[in-house]
Amino acid sequence: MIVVTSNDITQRKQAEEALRESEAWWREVFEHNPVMYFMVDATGKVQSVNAFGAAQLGYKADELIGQSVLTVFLEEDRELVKGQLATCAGELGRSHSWEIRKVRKDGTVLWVRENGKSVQRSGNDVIVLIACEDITERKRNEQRGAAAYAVTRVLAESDNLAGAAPHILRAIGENLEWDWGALWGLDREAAALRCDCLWHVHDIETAEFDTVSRERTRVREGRLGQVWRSASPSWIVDATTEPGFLRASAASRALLHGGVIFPIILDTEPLGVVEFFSRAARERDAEQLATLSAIGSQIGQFIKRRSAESALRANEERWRKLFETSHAGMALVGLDGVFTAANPALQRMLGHTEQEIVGRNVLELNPEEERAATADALARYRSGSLDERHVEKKYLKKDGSPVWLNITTTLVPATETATPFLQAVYVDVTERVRFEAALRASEERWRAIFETAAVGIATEPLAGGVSSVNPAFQRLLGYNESELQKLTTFDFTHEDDLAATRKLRNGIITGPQRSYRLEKRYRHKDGTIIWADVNASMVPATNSTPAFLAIMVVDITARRHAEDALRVAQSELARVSRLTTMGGFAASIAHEVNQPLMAVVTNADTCLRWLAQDLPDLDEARQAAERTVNAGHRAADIIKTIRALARKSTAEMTRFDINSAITDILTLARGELQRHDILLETDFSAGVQPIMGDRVQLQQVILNLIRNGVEAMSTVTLRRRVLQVSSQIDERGDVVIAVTDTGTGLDPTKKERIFDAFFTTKPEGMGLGLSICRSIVETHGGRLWASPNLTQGSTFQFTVPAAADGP
Amino acid sequence: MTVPHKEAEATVAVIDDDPDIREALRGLLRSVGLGVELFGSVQEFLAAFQRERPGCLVLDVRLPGRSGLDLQEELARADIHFPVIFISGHADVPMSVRAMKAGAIEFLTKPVRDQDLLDAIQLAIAKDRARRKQEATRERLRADFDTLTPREREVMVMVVAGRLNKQIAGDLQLSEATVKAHRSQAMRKMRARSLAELVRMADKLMPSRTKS
Repeated sequence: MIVVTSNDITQRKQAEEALRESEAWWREVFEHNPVMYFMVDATGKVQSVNAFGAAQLGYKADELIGQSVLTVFLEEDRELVKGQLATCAGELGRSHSWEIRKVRKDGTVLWVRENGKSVQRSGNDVIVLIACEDITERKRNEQRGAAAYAVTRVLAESDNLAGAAPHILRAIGENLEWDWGALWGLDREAAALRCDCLWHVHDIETAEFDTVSRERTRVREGRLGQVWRSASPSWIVDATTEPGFLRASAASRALLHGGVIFPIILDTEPLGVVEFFSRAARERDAEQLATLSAIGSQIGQFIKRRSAESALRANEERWRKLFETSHAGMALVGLDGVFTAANPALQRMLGHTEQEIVGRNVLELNPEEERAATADALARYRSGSLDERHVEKKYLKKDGSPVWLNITTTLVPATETATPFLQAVYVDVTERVRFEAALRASEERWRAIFETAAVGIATEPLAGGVSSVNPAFQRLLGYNESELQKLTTFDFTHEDDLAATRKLRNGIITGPQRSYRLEKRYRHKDGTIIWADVNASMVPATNSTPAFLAIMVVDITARRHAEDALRVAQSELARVSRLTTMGGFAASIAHEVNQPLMAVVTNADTCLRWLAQDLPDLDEARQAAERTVNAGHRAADIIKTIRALARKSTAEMTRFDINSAITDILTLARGELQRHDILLETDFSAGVQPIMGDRVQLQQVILNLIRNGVEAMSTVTLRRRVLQVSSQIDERGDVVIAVTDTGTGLDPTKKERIFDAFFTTKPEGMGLGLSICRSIVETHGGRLWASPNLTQGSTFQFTVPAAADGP
Repeated sequence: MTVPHKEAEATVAVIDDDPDIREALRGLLRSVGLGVELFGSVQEFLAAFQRERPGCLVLDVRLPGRSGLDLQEELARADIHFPVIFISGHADVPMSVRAMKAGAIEFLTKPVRDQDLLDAIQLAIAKDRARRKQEATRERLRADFDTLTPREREVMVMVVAGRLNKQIAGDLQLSEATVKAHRSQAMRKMRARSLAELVRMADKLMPSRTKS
């Protein structure tokens, strides 16, 4: 600056002129300098403002002059401004600078850097000169950077969007001077936006706007909807007047004006929307929009990464769980054969702890005989010639017990991050192996039984024919298996047994009887007759097998022959026994024959005496001769009975009266009874029906029982010896013959054995008597048994069925 | 004093459970004029038995109810001395010995020879008659003996034992005269004509005396 002074008028005028020019120049500089100048007095009243400064704030200079400078500051900054003014005023000549926001007439805000300095004017007034430059650009740059940084930090520290949202809103809001923010998540089901999170600075009252926002749960329309659909951000200069902004009136009441809405985007897909509002109206800020778009994408990436991470975690968790809880044994094995992991199931299977498996080579755990094969498989995995291997082998558990494992080993090829390894799945099949072994053993046993059985076994389909026969069956019939398979059972059944076989076979096929037994004849291949004891059973169908007949055949030809021989022998034996019995009665029989002989002789003598008299008495002689004849006949009868007993050996079934048969036999026994001082009592029921049987054999039985009774009483001296012989009919109509003695009774310990052949209580006995008696009685369809009497002695009795009605 | 009536008819009692044999024996005995009574069992016989009738018993050893041998023993115990002839179907030696020991007249085996049986029966009847006669004598002596006073019996026993009067007087603390008086009184009452006869009488009265 050049200041010229003159001491004359001209000079003064010139000086005045120059001053005016200078002043105008300065004014020009002052007014149009692109720095805002304010001159403010101590109370803050604007003394002067340059045109640039006023224009920057949307005013004309005279609109501001005289007004408090505070009007161009945000309400919340006004105290700060007062303080700064006071500071400047307090220190004359010293300049202070600060950064602060200024509010334009239209409400928009700009950042300025102010430099203030107080000067003393005439009249001692202190004036504060303030020069301020617009630093909005720089400030916004810083803010955007700070916002992006803050968001990045929030995201880095967060696990998920829900946790991050309030921090994101706050980070953006505080850094970019927004007063209210909301995050709208995408409700995929409803295909709409929903307010997930709200934030606002603490010094505003936005309850109504909050509520209105929160209640909008299905946003598809409006500015939010538009941003969501277009996936591009949108700036709102003044929400209260913005067309298409649906919450305009609520915003107005909340004193919110400027706003921005930007999408959260993953690739091109919008995942949500974020909006901010401020009390100040905001000029469209393209840079901020770009920054927020980037933040939206960043949040989208965050969501993607986090969900991918959590999916990975969940996935890994699932596999880990599967590995840990699987009942199948699982292991990971390096290609070198070393276990790197073994799950609990495998540990249980092998009886080893995890530490005892992991780190060891599979070969060590392998049973000795499997090692070579396993080593070979490992080599093939390494060479790439084997991908998968199934094997079933027996391991020894740690305690030495065997365990059968079914193992599937799969090669997992190398990936970018992992070397190739083997995964093995083990299934404990011990039970199955045991079961199979048992089944096999059982099958082998049955097969062996079938093959080696002495019994002939054949199976026949229900339709007929022969499906399988064992060697014994083939031997029995003389045909081999293939020959038999062309025949049916009827082809080799004896003609006379065909009908019975057919009937029984059909019977068990139709049920309810499921098996039969038959002694029948087969025709051997060579034509001879085979006697067989045949057991046939119907085996019902199962899921796998149709129904069939199981036939078991025992060759009883030899038994049959033996039985025939035995019958002959038994008959002979019976006769021998009869003779033996009679031998015991010899004295008695002699006596019985003697009696009539005595009568014959005496009567004949008498007859002779009458005839020899001088005067023969013919009448007396004739009477004596008649008595002789009668006695002779009687003797003949007795002899006849004895002869019948002695001679007969084969059974002759006739119909006869048992009472008369008993009477005959008692005639023979009478002498014996007398000799032993035994009283005979008889009680014959008149109602006894004739019976069908062998008279002599049954007489033999009675004689035997009488003889037993006599012998039982032979040592009895202190009581009467009484032998009772009775006949009666039981409730079934059978004839019951009982022989009761008062002898020593049965020895209970021998009671059951007395009917056994060769069992005897007598020193000289053969022990055949009762045995033969029983077989005779049973041949007649009756029973023979012994029972002790109530008082003394015992009773032997037998039954014989009454003959069917007939002549 | 009972006198044996010789005129009484001898009867043969036959016990046999075989009616044919009973009839045959009746015929035989009738043919020789002997009286016969038939019994089927010992019980029947005992029911009809008359002690006074002389005769004999023909008996089968084996009889129902009670055997012939038992009967024989029973009769002996009852002091019935009825001669018994056994007939048996068996030649059973021990049994025949027992029968004979028990006083059987004969033990015959069926069939019996008629003459053997008849001889045995005759012998038995004769024996029975003799026994009955002897029995009658003894009964008379006993009656006479019963008339003696106790002192006379005492003296008589000592006299037949061979003691002298003097010895008897000493033993009994009596005078010899008194002993003599008792002795003659006993002789008179016993109708003994001599000492020897008195001794025989004493033997008959007391059969055991000779043995002791």
